[in-house]
Formats: sequence, C-alpha cells, structure tokens
Amino acid sequence: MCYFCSCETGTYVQGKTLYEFHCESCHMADGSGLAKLIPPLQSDYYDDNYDKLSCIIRNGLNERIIVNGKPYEQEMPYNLGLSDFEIVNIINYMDNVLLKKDRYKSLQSVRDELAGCSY
Amino acid sequence: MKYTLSIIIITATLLASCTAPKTEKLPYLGKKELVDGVEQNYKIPQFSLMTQDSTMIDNKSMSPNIYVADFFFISCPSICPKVKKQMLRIYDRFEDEPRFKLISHTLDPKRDTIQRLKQYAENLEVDHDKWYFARTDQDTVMDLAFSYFVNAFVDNEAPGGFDHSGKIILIDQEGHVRGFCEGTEPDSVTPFMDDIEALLDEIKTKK
Ligand code: HEC
Repeated sequence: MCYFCSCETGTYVQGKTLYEFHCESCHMADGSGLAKLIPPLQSDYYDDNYDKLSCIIRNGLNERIIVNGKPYEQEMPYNLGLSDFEIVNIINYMDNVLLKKDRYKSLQSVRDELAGCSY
Repeated sequence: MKYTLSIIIITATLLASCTAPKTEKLPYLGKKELVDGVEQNYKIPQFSLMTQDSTMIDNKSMSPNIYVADFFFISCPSICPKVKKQMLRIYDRFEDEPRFKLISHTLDPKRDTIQRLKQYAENLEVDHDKWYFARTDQDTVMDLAFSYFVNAFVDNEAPGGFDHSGKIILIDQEGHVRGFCEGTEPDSVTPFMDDIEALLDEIKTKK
C-alpha cells in the first residue's frame, strides 16, 4: 500500500517538521533567508554544493561564502543530533517543496557524502 | 507572587486590547499610573542608549517620532532572524516616513559590541538614522525589556544563552505603548502595520 512512506516521497512530513524545527528560524519558511545575514536556499551555491548539503547540515558552516553574488559570513550551527535518515528527509523536503527542483537524493548518497565530509 | 499577578494583569490588558475594532483610536496599553494624584497612561521609563554609530539616543531624542522596538542578540539561533525579517518588512513599508523609527536592543552587550552592531546593520542594508541598533549594560537592558513587556532572562540552557519573547512594540511620540505583535508570526505583523499607519495619521492630524 504505502511503499514509499518511509522515505516521505509523497508528503515530506518528517522533512517539513524537521525543517521547521531546525532551519526555519534562520532560513525562513519559504527559504528566502535574511538580507546579507542569512543566505537564501534558492541559490547558485545550493546547486553547486548539492553533494555537500549533508555535510553542511550535520556540521554547520563557518566560512565566507558567496551566494547569488552576495557574501555571507555569519556562522551556521551544526546539527550533530540529526540522523542520516533525517538529513535525507530535510534535503528532499527543501528540494521538492521549497525549491521545486523535482529531484531526489537517496539515503545511500547522504551516507556517502557524510563519510567524506572534509571537516 | 504579587509580581506574577501584575504580569498576568498586564498581559490580560494587552490581549484584551488586541480585539479592539480597527476604526477606533489606538488604545493606550499598560497599567495606568498615578502621578501627583492624576491618573496617567503608562510610559516607557527613562533610557539612554548608544547606537551602532556611537551616538546616544534617549526618550527626548526619540520624542518627535513614533517607533517600534524589539529585543534580540546577534548570535541568537532561535527566533531572532524571523523577528528581524518582520522588522525589515516594517522598515520597507515605512522607510519614507520621516517620523517613524525602529530600535533593536541587544540583550547581549558583552558579545554585541558597537562595532558588531554596526556590521550587523550594514548586513541588513538599512539606514543607520532610521533603524537604531542600541546597546547599554546587561542589567539596564533586562529592565528595559520588562518595561516594554518583553520577557527576557539570562538562561544558560536556552539557545544562545538568553530566553526572550519576539514581541515588536509600538511606541508613540510621548512614550506610550500603543500596540504590539508577535514578530515570529508574519500574520500578526500585517494588522500591526495598519496600527502603525493609524498612529502616523494620528500624529499628523495633531501636528
Ligand atoms: C542560526 C541560523 C541558521 C540555522 C538554524 C540554519 N542555518 Fe543554514 N546557514 C546559516 C548561515 C548564517 C549560513 C551561511 C554560513 C557561512 O557563511 O559560513 C547558512 C548556510 C546554509 C546553506 C548554504 C548556503 C545556501 O543558502 O545555499 C544551506 C544549504 C543551509 N544553510 C541549509 C540549512 C538547513 C537545511 C538547516 C536546518 C537543518 C539550516 N541551514 C539551519 C544560518 C542558519
């Protein structure tokens, strides 16, 4: 009946809840961010670093980055408590609901990315 | 106990005023005070704060203007960016109103130096003479938050070390509290902006 439920492909319930709890306060409900303080998710940086998202979510980010042509250097906190499974759900929620990208990251690719985080 | 009770009363008054019909003059919020035997509307007490430009502001320098106030700190990971987004929305709408200002008070003067506040304001890309990022010492800002009916506590368990509410408060040209909203809830900010508009009309007709 519900083959895909565990991965939230249909409704992104867990991804949405986790996003609201862990990310929304900074990146906003629509992912738009805040001026030159918090970068928008709809960005060249997001796409260019698609294979590093798992590492950014788990370990945070604290370096000067250029997003849609603007510099950002505030610190994003880490989320060591999020499981691989939860990270995949957050990414697929952002991708499909907020950013309307219509692409899907698998649990295995999140695990591969996390194994190779540079920090 | 008495203290808790008075907070409950204040909150109840604030909540009750929410439902006032829009066409009426904005209410005066807070407990009335007796001054020389005469009942007066609650006023924000004396303050004197330094802004991101290292200039001082106080009740008097604010007084030809109406303003909105919030309390935050730069490293706040919880509600602050959301509230700032709404402050920015208010700023954008009233940017060209010469008699309208904004004050964001830092609750964390130890870490939020004048220099860091300046940088923060620049990153928000707002006019330094319209939106003040204000700093004073720790005890004073805590008391000041209470005087704006904002609950703020030093709490090492809370994210970033402070526990506080995301209220945005509207103050008139005489220092009276005339409205408030929840800065974390965009839907509550929309009618609040109409209140600001109404207050601007009020002071324009009064001159
Ligand atoms: C306390 C605020 C805060 C929280 C909470 C937060 N971020 Fe961030 N995020 C930032 C900041 C600030 C940056 C820029 C970091 C830098 O310059 O090093 C950033 C950068 C990013 C980027 C890369 C830049 C871009 O916009 O494409 C992504 C993706 C991202 N965050 C996703 C998330 C996700 C997903 C969560 C929730 C798990 C989250 N963030 C939680 C503040 C935050």
